[in-house]
Amino acid sequence: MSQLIMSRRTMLRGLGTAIALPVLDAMIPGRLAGAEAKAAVKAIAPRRLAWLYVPNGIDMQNWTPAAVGSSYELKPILQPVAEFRDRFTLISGLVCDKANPHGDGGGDHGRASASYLTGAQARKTEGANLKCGLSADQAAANKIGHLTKFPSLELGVEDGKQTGRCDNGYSCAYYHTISWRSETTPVVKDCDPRSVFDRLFSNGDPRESAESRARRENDHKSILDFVLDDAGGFEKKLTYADRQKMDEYLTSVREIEVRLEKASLEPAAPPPAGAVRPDLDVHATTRDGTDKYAACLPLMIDMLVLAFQTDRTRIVTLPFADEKSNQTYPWAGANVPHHSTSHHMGDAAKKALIAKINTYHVEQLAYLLKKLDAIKEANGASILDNSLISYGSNISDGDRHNHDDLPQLLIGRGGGTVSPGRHLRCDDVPLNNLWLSMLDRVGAPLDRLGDSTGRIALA
Amino acid sequence: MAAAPAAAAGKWDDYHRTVQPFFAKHCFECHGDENAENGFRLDLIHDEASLENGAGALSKAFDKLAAHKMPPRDEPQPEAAEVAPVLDWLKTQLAGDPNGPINPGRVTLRRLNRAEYNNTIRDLLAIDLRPADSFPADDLGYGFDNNGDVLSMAPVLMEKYLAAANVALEKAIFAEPVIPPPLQSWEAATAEGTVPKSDPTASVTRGTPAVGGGPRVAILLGRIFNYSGEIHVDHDVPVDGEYVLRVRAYGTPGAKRDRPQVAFLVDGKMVQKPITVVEDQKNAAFDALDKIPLTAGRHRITLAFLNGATEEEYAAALRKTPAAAKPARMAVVNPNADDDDDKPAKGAAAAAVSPTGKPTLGVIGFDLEGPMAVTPDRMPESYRRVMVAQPSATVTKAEAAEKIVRHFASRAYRRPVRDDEVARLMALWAKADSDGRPFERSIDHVLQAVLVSPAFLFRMELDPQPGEAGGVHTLNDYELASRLSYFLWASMPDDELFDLAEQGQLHQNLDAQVRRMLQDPKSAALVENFGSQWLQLRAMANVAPDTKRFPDFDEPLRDAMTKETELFFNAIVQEDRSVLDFINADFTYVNERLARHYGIPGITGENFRRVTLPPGQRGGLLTQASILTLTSYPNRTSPVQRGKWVLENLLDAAPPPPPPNVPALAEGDKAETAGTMRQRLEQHRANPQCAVCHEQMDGIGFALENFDAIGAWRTQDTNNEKIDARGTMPGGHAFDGPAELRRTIQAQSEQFARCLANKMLTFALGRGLQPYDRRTTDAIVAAMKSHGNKFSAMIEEIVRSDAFQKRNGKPERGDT
Repeated sequence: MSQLIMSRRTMLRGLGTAIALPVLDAMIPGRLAGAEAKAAVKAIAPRRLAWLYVPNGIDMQNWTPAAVGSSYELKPILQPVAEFRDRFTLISGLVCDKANPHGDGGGDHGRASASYLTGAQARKTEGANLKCGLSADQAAANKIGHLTKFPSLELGVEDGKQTGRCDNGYSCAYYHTISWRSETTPVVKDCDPRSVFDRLFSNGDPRESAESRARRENDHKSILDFVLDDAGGFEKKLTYADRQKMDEYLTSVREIEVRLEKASLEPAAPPPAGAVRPDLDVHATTRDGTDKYAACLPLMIDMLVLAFQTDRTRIVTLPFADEKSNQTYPWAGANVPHHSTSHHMGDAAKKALIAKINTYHVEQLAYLLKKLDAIKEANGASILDNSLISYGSNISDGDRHNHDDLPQLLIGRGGGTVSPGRHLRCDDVPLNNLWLSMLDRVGAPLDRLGDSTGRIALA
Repeated sequence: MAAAPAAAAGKWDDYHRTVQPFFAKHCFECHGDENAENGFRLDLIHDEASLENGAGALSKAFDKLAAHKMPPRDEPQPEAAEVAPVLDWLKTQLAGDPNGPINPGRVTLRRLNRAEYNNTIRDLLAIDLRPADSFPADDLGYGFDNNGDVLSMAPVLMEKYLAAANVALEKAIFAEPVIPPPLQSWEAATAEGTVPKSDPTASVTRGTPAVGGGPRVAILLGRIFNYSGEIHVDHDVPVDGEYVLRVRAYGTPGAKRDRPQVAFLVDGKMVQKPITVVEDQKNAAFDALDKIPLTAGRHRITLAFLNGATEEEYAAALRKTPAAAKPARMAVVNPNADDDDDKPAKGAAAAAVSPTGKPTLGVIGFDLEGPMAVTPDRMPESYRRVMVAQPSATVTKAEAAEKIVRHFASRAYRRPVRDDEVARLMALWAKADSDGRPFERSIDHVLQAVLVSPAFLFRMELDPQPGEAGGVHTLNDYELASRLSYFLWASMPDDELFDLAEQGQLHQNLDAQVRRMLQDPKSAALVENFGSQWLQLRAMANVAPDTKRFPDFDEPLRDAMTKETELFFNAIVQEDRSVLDFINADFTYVNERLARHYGIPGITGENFRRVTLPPGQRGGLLTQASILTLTSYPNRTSPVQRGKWVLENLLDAAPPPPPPNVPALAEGDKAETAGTMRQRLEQHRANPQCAVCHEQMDGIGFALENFDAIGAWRTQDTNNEKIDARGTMPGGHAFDGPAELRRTIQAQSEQFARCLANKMLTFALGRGLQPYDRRTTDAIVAAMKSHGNKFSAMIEEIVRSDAFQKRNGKPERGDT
């Protein structure tokens, strides 16, 4: 993998200043010819990672098949993605031990979202001294994020402002994200599809004159220079947690500065044909929350697709809902609060409701996969084939809150680096081993992350 | 807070002698090793050092022992004489040395949260924009979204800040003038000129369509130009300046579709290009394209019709077609004709062509507007608040810019801006100015930088000696002003607070300022931010009652429920009532929709009004439909959630979370488990692991069973069983129904006052409370008690506290 990245860089350097561009498939053939072009095209079809998360566990009896290998029986919850069964690996037997209490008592939901991508034990606190670990998506962004406008995108649907208290002694920060930029900095997610759209395509109007654009970019740059200087001055006067806050600020400003630098090398690119700015106002206060959810999730998936399609980023996290979510799903035949119902105590009727919610979420996954599969890239494969998309939960059975035998799908071929279409049974292997295996395939290898102990063979 | 070694050793001796044996006897069985219940361990305190670090655990133990929640009731209970010395010792230790200085704690650098950002922009710029509504949600710590520790920064937020600064300043600086420039108008009908005057009183009457579906023929209005000519006025221009000339006219094109053209002349000279009058425009006003400079003094303003027939051609045409001879039948399409439902047929315009075949024109009037220069007095408050200086003959651009920047940054940073900061801001301004952009644009640029700088986005409290073992210090007056204004208004300080800070008089005038601020309408922020989070009222926006089971529930009801609680809370603040009214007030606010829900007759309309409640059913927060709904499931009530809500939010006695891997209560839908809600919950409590907490929660929740899942009164449950609303408090006090529940909680006034004080102090400080804060809450509760539990007594005592006015240079890590 690293070989490919190297060759890509080498090649791009030869192409001159357009290099910081997301590689447009139309750009290559004109510059290179014949076998060289083919090789280049193959090398540069970007590989992407996405993590989709569902809370409160899964009705596992309707998820995990008995047989392993390629001829397993697809259980009911996974029926909506049946047409993609040769494109995903169903992995069972994964475990996330850091979601277990280890003496910290209740709070399995907060620990589950916090440890999912970090493999780290969340420090039990309602606010002071938050601590978890670097998450897999952010680790990948550290390595390959510089190749795109956004190193990573953190999307979501439930923005948490209405959930009130996140009890059990864990701050809401542990519930509301699965992405951690460092062990002390959770990454806030964007739950407004319109905002995501505007951010993706904010590098200007193609009709804008070069002069006007240059001035606008200059203005932004001089403002950022100024505040960086300002913040640097304050940072010296701050100590302890205050300083950490100023570090977060500086990091944020620098990231935007880098993005502006990249943007100034790109032509202003309009959204692809057919992409429209979402017309959902998620901030409208009077709208019924249930409707809003059903409208928002598909739009957010559209944004994920757009981000991949236009290569604005190669790394996305998208929790379909937050841990302990009590979202109701009347349109899916489950007009019950998700979390409370997940404590089904073995009751068949409740489990059936949970299965309905699970199935609805998998239908949304199917919607995503169809869209990604419909977009062909420079190397002739679809975005789906070139990506690795994880779909899962860090709670197995919602009633028991157990963090072993976790539900997990790995979708996509990762540019031909995995062999999907089978049920792979692991024996209590850390979830983080899977993340490392994913990172390997996008050129972001790490020795270890959180509680990882190795890799999982996916090919 | 390292105590002297000797003292530490003495403390350990006391602990070892008095407390540890008690813990060993009554607590260690469940809290004495790594398998401890709920992960809570008391055995970790085993020497001087671990005792110093164990304040959090001891504080928790104290609370449980004092409230008789531990040991569990099915375990042997300690004798009163046995527990008393332990409680005494813990209380003394936790409060710290009662005669020593109070540790004020240390608040982490706080980023403005969404509400604070919105309000600060509102007060800084005098605009109503709420840009932060589209920011990502802020996380909560200790129940509130103003907690410095969890308010993190991220690139997505930084993007939003940049965009918001741009939009807010655009709105503030580049606003339309609220007072338009002076306007002088003339009627065309009677002005002097070379075409015949018309009847100034002629008014429009609706024309009837001409025979054959032609256009509505005009009833003439204004001055009719059947041929080229001019009209003019002589006008005294008051001052030198730029002016705009405008003609209000209509016309009919000529046979070649050539449209009438007019031009303005000043003192006989054409001052701009001719204006084309488009005939199909209604009530058209045509501006001259350019502003024209005029000097003060008398000028002749002439309006000339350029491309009509000559007078002779017109006369000749009249002779040929005498039918059109009457001037009042001149063919000009009336621009005011109502053609919405009756469009002129094609060829209509041709039918209306004048007999000469040249365009004709009707002029209603013409205007001179100006001088156009934007003077601050004509601009909205937002502009004047920012643009406090203008370049002029005596003030250079740089001087004006510096005055603006200094003034703006000092307000945005909520402290006097330093000279070095001004110098850097001015360097930024000079760079923007050097490319020749207009003055306002260069100001806009530098102020955007102010609005994304950390001094604006964060509430900074700098330590005098950062990095050193700085001790406790008193906040300066500016820092205190911000603490006050963000506590009570969720916004920046106003001019009065700034003035007091500047004079160094704020510390001396705190009580008066608190009273003034609570009376100010901006204190509604306390409801929106403190109240809505304390009561979890924000969840109302997301509750989704099952409309099959509760067809009554609709959006107006959702809004009314929320509004009731907000108005009720606000009344307690504004009228400075006893906080016990939260529990058992005999009044509330309803509109027609909510009154119907409550069965209160005689209320009509959408407006809310205050009503006195009859004794029995409702009173206080607990029986408001909002609270009852947000503690229910979509399809039914939950005594567990209601009980938990009371314990958490009114009594500060939150039950511990369910133990890991033991399922929470089976909250059944109707038929799965037999029996009433009460019977089902009682079955559940047969499990002793569940019973210890559920007895407390359920016992309270049962008393509210007369209210259904959307807070309507009922006497039978969904299985048509009569409601049994008997319940018990933790500790065993029994009661029946909501009124007795309220009286029971009211009787625990000190516990409620402490609960509210804890939450309010957490909100006021923006940090979680620590064991050493107990002396502060003790003082608040005492002050409340001696002032009839008045709301203001709580706020004033918080503001007086060291925790509010001081800051520890070093963080503490006393809590777990």
